Amino acid sequence: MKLRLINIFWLLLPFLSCDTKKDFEEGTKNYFVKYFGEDGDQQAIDMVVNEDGTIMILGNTSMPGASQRILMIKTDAEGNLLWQKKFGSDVDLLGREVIAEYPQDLEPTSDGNFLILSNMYRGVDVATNEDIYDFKVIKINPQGDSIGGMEFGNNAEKWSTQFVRSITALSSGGFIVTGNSTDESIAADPQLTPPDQEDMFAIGFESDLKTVAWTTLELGASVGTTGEHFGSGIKVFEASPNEYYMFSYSDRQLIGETDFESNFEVSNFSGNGIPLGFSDNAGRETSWEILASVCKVPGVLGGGYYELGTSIPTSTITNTVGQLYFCKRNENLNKQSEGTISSISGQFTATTVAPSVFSDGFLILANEKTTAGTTIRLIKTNLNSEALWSVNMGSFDKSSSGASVAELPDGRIMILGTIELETQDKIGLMKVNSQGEFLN
Amino acid sequence: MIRPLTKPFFLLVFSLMGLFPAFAQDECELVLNRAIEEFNAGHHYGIPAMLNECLERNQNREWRQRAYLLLAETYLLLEDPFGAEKSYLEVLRANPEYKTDEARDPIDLVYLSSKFTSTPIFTLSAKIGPNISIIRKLVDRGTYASEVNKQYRLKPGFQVGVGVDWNYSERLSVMLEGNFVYSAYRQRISGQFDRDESSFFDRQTWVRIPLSIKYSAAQGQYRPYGYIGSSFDLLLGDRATIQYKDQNYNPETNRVESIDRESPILKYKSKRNAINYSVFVGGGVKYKLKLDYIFADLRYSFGMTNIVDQDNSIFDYNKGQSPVTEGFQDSGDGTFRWGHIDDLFRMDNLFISVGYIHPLYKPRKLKKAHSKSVLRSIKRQGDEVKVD
Repeated sequence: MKLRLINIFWLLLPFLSCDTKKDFEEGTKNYFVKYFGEDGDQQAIDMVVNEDGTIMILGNTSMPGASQRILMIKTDAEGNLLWQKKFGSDVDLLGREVIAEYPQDLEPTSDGNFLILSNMYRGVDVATNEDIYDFKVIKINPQGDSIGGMEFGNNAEKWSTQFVRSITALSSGGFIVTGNSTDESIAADPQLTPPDQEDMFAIGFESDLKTVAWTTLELGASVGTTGEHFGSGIKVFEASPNEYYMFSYSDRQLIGETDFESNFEVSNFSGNGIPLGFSDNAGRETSWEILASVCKVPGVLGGGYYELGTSIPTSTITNTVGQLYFCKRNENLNKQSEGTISSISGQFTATTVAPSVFSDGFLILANEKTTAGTTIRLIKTNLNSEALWSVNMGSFDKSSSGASVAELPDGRIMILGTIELETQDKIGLMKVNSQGEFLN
Repeated sequence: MIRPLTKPFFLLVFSLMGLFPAFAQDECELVLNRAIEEFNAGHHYGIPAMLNECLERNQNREWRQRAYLLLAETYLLLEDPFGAEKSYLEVLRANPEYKTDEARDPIDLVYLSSKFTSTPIFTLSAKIGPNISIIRKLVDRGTYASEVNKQYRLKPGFQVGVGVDWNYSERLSVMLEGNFVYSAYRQRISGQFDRDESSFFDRQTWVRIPLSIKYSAAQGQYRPYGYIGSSFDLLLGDRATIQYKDQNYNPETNRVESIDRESPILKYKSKRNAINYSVFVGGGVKYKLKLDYIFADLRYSFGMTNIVDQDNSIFDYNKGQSPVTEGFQDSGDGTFRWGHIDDLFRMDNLFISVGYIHPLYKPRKLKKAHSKSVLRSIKRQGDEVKVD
């Protein structure tokens, strides 16, 4: 009798443990890796996570036999493609050749649309042997249709080139771009040895998206008085319609120092681009701090601004990798703390930073140099910038790079990057849990 | 000079020695025939002694069957039930499938036989054969954000196994097996990034412990059977390779250019649930070869559990490695280098096997003899005789 009962139990057991679709369907939506692209190679640049959970992704695409173009993608919350559109052409509005598009930034506007910022590469200036860029701004609606835009032709030909790094949509409907130019003549620096190489700028545009409202150059000049060789504007924030904060980096010689070495910089200016007198820096004397990204810190995390960049020892400045360096400032730009991100090791190039409200800290994205390539490193820090955990994504001996990171309302994390697969680069969108794991 | 023994002499000696068993066999045949004559003449008391010496010489099965049958009948007539039972047991040992015949054998012998059986309590079997795997998708997953075309293709595998049947009756048994199964399948994807193609080839090895209830025919040279059961399945290993065809249209050459790559062998066991269950139905036919059988079998197994370890389907978190080490990164190569992630699926299998069955016959006295029917038959015959 006992043996019969054992037999019956054994025979019934599989029916008790039968797996069905319903057992798994919800869980599979909580994490994913999704690749986007077409023929050729595609790279990720930036993303915006909308309130409805959809995601706007900015990238570029290089197809065989065609020049590089802007690629815009929209996905649903599970990473499924909703639409994909390309922008750019071989000639600009004035009929001049555009060899390649280098999209840089994607920003939402207050009217529910988006601004795409892209540098247009025109080739090499034979006189100076320098790359020549113009930039364009395209305004699109949530369906990806172009509804306006402009092309900037070297500041009405006064500048030979400029390279923009970011765009800031203003409450007025206009926008500000910032970057630098290798045309060092755009700003008058003192005579330097070696000579000045780059000058930084910010340009404000009216709400018609075409009219230049103002141009400001070399902000932060009051920090030091001896000019700079290298530097670039990274991000401008609208503190109010009458005050903007510009975050940048340069190798400006600081008061009390004898060397030119790069540091983070911040300064403020008025609604019409006039410096308002505040400026500050962050960095160490024995290394070059190159600013990569700035995010606004939500009020629940203390408010203010968080800067992230790469700190490269002066002795190895020809490298592009080093430690991750941060500077935290309050709403009035006063420095609260700075230093290297502790409790992690490796050689990194900083990419971007985002606040983590769910876990009281920050999410940092960097590219980590491995023995044979680069991988994407996602780091979660506490409010003191101490690393709590970090994870790598990408194949160890391939060259993958991070582009953007955002925390979702449920604490999960969305990461955008370029993944080098076995034979091609593709835009990769990855969703992980609040511990950085591909788990429920 | 005495010539040494030569080869021909030895051959003669051994040939003569080889004849001894034949001489012995013939002598015992004569003994048996004499014993039968004595039995028919009604001289019963001396028969056991006559046959004793030949029985001790371990004669062949057929001779022993006839000799012990004669002894059983002799003891029945001598009213020695112990001797009769002992002798009939030896009949079954000589031929486990011996059955009395009411038309041929004395009724008391038939009655005696109803107290005994030699049906095997256990039956051993071994088998080998090919299989195919059928994937039953539970959840569709992929790393490609746009629509792709996905198909599963059949690939052959093989299995070997041993089993033991516990025979509840002549027809009904419970079968427990231990099988080693090699199974494989291929997943083909096309249309990634407009026109790429890839192929994921997965090979698995399993140990399966099926338990089933079987119903078999009990008579005939060809005996069909059927069974239903369930199986505990343990995954031993899983290896995969991925082939990727990166195809791009080049307008300058007006051709689609292809870059083909194949991955090294990727270890996928950590991305699987090692313990699974299945339910199966099957049947076949066995062919009687003397006291054993050969058989051909067809079985369909329904996988009941999701084979993919959802938590480890991208990185292997079970190893406890730091997620920033190269070893940990390597476990994600299937996704981050080759663009693959498994669907969640169950796996069915179709098995075809051929094998050999060896019943372990056990002649024994039944605890509860099925003799009522025999008694009814005896009574019926007695009534018929009275009427006559």
